[in-house]
Amino acid sequence: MSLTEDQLISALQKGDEHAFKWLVDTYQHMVYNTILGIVQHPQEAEDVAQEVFVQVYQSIAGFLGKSKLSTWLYRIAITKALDWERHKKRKKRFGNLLFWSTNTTDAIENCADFEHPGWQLNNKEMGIALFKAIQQLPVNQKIAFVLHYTEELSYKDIAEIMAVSIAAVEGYLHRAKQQLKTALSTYQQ
Amino acid sequence: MTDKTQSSIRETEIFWETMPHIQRATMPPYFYTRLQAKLAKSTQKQNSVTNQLWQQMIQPKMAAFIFTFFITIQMLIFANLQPTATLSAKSNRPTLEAFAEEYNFTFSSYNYTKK
Repeated sequence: MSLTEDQLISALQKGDEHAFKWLVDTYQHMVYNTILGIVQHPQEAEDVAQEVFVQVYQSIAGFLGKSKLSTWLYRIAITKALDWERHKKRKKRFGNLLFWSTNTTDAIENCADFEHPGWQLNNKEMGIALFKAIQQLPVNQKIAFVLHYTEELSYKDIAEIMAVSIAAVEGYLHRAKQQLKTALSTYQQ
Repeated sequence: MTDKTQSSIRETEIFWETMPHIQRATMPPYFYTRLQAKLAKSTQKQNSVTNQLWQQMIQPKMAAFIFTFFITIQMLIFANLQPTATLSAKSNRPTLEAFAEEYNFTFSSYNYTKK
């Protein structure tokens, strides 16, 4: 099954199951990788990806087609991932107070040493340090870096997704790269 | 842009060019099956919440309560108009100036020293 974007959107808006399956099959890795870069936990990233597609299914009727479908999907994925992160931080804050909630601390500890599945095996420590440093970046820098580094998107595409100018993306990426370079300088041979 | 800034940018770019590239992670298998289950659950939940709310709304007791509540609110609004009229009447009471005028009294002319 191969559809043009307009045909796909039209079929989705009519509630076509096959079109939805095609959408999921086509975009699942893109959505998953974006979320994984932000959330840094494979299981949680899958849960968030599920939420993204549920939202897509429920709100496709309201999609006006002003932007590309992939841009819209990226925006939903980023929003959901950031919401999840905020929720996690809130849980952590209260988890410190409510010592009986053991599940919350488990999830947080698991994220401490995140190993990206796509990272080269011969430099594990550097990969862990990189994603730990990404987690410390300000939100805009983090989004721009994840989209550029893991998704290999162009500055123009990133600017469209983030709804900012290309110059702003350049600024975010430069600052992120500088900050990460400082964090990783000890691992560089 | 100064030379220092330019060299810093160049340094950073060189650093990132030598960094290993990351490969895209693949979604765990059977994602669509799990997604369908979640979607069904979500739709069911949404429907049940909407249905419950609607069913409650059209129950005679609930409808009567909403009607009574609406009437009470309306009555309260009308009842509150009355005190507004009294308030305006109260605002007409003699001020300090009127008092001073009536009794030919000024604070500046009053002798505060103990007699």
